[in-house]
Amino acid sequence: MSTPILSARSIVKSFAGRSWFGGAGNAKRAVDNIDLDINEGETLAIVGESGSGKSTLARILLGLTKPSSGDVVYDGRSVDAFKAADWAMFRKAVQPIFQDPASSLNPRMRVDTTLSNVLLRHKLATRNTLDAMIADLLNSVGLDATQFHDRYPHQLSGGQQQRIAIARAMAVRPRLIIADEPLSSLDMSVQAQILDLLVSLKSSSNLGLVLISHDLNVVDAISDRVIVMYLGKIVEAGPTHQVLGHPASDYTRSLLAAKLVADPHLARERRLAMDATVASAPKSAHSESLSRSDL
Amino acid sequence: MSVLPAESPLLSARDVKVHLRVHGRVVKAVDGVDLDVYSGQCVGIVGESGSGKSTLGRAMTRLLPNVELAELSGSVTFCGDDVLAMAPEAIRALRRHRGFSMVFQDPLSYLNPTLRIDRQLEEALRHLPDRRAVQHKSEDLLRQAGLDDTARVLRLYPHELSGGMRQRVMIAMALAPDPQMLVADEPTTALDATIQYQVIQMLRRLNKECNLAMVIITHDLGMVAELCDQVYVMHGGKIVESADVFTLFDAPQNAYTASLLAAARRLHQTRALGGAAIAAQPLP
Repeated sequence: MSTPILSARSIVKSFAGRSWFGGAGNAKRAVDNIDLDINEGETLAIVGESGSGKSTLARILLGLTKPSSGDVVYDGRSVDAFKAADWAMFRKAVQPIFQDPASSLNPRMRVDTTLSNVLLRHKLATRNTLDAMIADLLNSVGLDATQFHDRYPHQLSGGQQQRIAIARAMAVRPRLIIADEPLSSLDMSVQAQILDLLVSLKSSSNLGLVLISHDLNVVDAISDRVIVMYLGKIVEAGPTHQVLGHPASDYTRSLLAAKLVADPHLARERRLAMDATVASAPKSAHSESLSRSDL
Repeated sequence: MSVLPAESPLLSARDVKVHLRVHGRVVKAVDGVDLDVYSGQCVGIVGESGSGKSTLGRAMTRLLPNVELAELSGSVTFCGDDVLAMAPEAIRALRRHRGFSMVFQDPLSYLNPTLRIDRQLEEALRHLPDRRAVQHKSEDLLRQAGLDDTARVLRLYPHELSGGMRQRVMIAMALAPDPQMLVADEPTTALDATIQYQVIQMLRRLNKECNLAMVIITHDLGMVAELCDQVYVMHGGKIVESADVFTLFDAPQNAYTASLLAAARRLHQTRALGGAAIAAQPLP
């Protein structure tokens, strides 16, 4: 196998806890000794609940936050040794998509300005080819270029804004996209559309994707491998079908058990199954008794 | 499993119209809605953002701001009285005693950040005779909402609670007037998945075991499948389809409902695990 595009080596990120006299105090380890590899064309999902450190990890992988210790390795080189030119190359190869497109787009820029800035900055277009490239990009994310090129972000719906954010990320033809909860601020029917868009973009290019999500349904639908995080640590990792189909850790099992299904028949079956296990184990009669401290 | 409707509905909305004035334009947020909630029933109002579902929920509980309304018409009959036509005192009496309560998506913005939980619950329990009765009822309400460590929780401030605990406190406060109906607008959207599931099961127990009628306003068809008996699908201010939950999911009649279900199934599709595998997964 070739070298992975991006790797994390023993990444730790701690945030200083509140303490008197500025002492070390009880620092909180948001990311606690994480190792992972992302290969060419692969979709890796990072799953966890709020506070699991998944978003901090995403920022570290993007080079937006410096880890307290450990290395982020791009193409076999540690980003610690990067010079300005290396960062420019890295930014072109690894692109982010964030949860809330409204706050990741410049409200004062029209859609075409947003995209042309990226294309010109990375010298991917000249003045002559710019319009055609912007039109292509908009079409590739399912927006009619003639209708949308001169809009401002506030004139777009949430789904359209997220499509623009994806178009901006795709503009530089990245090798890897790191998407932090790209669907969770969207309506369900729009989520399905954006999910389909990501799948089609992935299959039409050899794009790698890191998908940070708390939604196991989305993870199941799109990813090749899954990493499950809890309180900054990896509790389970492996191929998606294995982790979700035959979870090894209790935490993954509890996440799966809490997954809602859009099918009232299944929901009822599951409740009956649960009632049966509760009845056979009177000690845990309260299904409420599962709390974060038990995990 | 489903609740048999009683003779006459607990709440009955007829031709409800709520037109809002936004920047000088009239927006028909709710445009002629008929809806019934029977005693002990759990009714879901499903729709996407902008469908008017939250405005409908607020109209049903008379929580609409008066100033921005271009039109408010129709009737919402609750126990024989028209909620929309009631005097403010009558509405307050209904909220205070055996009427309806409402729970919202973001509990932090509905809790007073400067008061401990016991003081906030006290405000909802002013009808009780003395402190001991209030203390007793407060603990009882928190337990009903699934918080067992009542003595500690009562002494905490909202910022010291987790999101799930805050929502449980909100639900406990909503239960204080011993309501016949609870209207919950996206009650679990801000919560983590495992906490969401626990809160849904708690709501389900309140609905089924305490016979509390419920209106769940949500965009999440998974939550509807888990909780609701009867479902109304809203789109553009109108009800486009209503049916019992099994009929709606098995055989949607309306094209918009079908597209919502298709989207939900696209998101909930299970490649790795068959449905049976999920059903057999008990909570550890």
